[in-house]
Amino acid sequence: MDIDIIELSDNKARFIINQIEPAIINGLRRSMLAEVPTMAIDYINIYGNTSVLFDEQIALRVGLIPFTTDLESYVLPEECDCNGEGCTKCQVSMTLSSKGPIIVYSGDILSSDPKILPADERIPIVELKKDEELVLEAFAKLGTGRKHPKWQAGIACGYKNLPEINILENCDSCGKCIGECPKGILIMENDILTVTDALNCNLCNLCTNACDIDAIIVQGKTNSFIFRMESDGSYTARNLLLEGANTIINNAKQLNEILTEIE
Amino acid sequence: MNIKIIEKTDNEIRMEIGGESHTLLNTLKSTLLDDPGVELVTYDIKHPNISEPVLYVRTNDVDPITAIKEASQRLVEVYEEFKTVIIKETDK
Amino acid sequence: MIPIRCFTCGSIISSKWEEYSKRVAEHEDPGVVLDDLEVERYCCRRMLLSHIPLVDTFAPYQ
Repeated sequence: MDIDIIELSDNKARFIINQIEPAIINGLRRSMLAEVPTMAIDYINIYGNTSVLFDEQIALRVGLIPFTTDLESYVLPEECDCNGEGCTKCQVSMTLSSKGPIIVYSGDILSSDPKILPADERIPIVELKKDEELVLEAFAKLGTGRKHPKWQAGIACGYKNLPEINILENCDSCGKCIGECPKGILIMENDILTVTDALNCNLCNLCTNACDIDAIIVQGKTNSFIFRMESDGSYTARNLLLEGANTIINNAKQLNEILTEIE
Repeated sequence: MNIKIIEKTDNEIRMEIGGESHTLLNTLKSTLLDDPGVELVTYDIKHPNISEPVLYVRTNDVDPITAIKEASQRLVEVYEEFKTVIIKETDK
Repeated sequence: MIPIRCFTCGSIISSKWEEYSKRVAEHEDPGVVLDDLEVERYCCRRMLLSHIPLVDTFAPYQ
């Protein structure tokens, strides 16, 4: 298994991965989307709301805000010693208090844990006009995307087969395939057909169909993929990849333990 | 996760793996098929709202539960290898 | 109010609304503004492109 990083930033990653089974890379994709726990507000007490939005609308918006997540210090409410009643090990308390005229942003939320903060401070929650007020107390808890999309950590995680484009020796440089390519990655350079950016090929095979002499072959390399993913801010892209793998590792270990006990 | 063994013979097992989805089951199926002693692996999820996934494994001369345990271990190893490669490439 | 996340992929698009609406009000081409704000997928682009803010319409009736 080896990896070639094409792009890596705090929130995005794109890389080529070789020698990995499709089921394994798919497991990673599913895990990052729906099984990695993140923090999101799950319970609010609204003490005052004279804004233009209903209480429930404010609750929905506040719930969808992504928070930076610390898996070392918190556990899922179902797995907590308090049985999900709520304690310092499974929830973080926060407050939000604002009076118009102002736009209330996610950055105005005050968290009791300096490590659990809104991942993006510029998310507008509601616009308060003159003398309108919003006062609420919120509790953020860990959850997974399977329960509700507010806990979804990965964004647009996907992969495609690594394209391999081979131009054979019998190519007569007629150029018919160039116009057919929807991605525009074939060009004629010094009368020789060249591929400018093989990674952008979408394996549509319009070029191979256009060729009368079968001089171009397009196929996906077995067990090699281009993987792209983004994070909503709850983890850095790199950490989300690691946590995606960790979640499956933990499940597999748990399965092993239970089967050992049964015997 | 809660496991319920529905039926078991010397070389077959049908077990219910509650609380899981394709994420664990499809990857486990893939590592189970790497074992030459495993003849057949299928899993069925009728509908997530009404039933739990059921895994069926048939083996040649290997205890099916041992085969599943070894496959889970291989699954752990393949993702640990992935983590190692990511850490190595991103620390550059 | 602009929805917090894209309905389809879940990416956070609400934080881009203010700059987007200001620049479009100044008669810049929406496509160019979306490209500058790095809103790449069309699922996210339609969230910003087709949003109509109703806060000011409702405000007098509070």
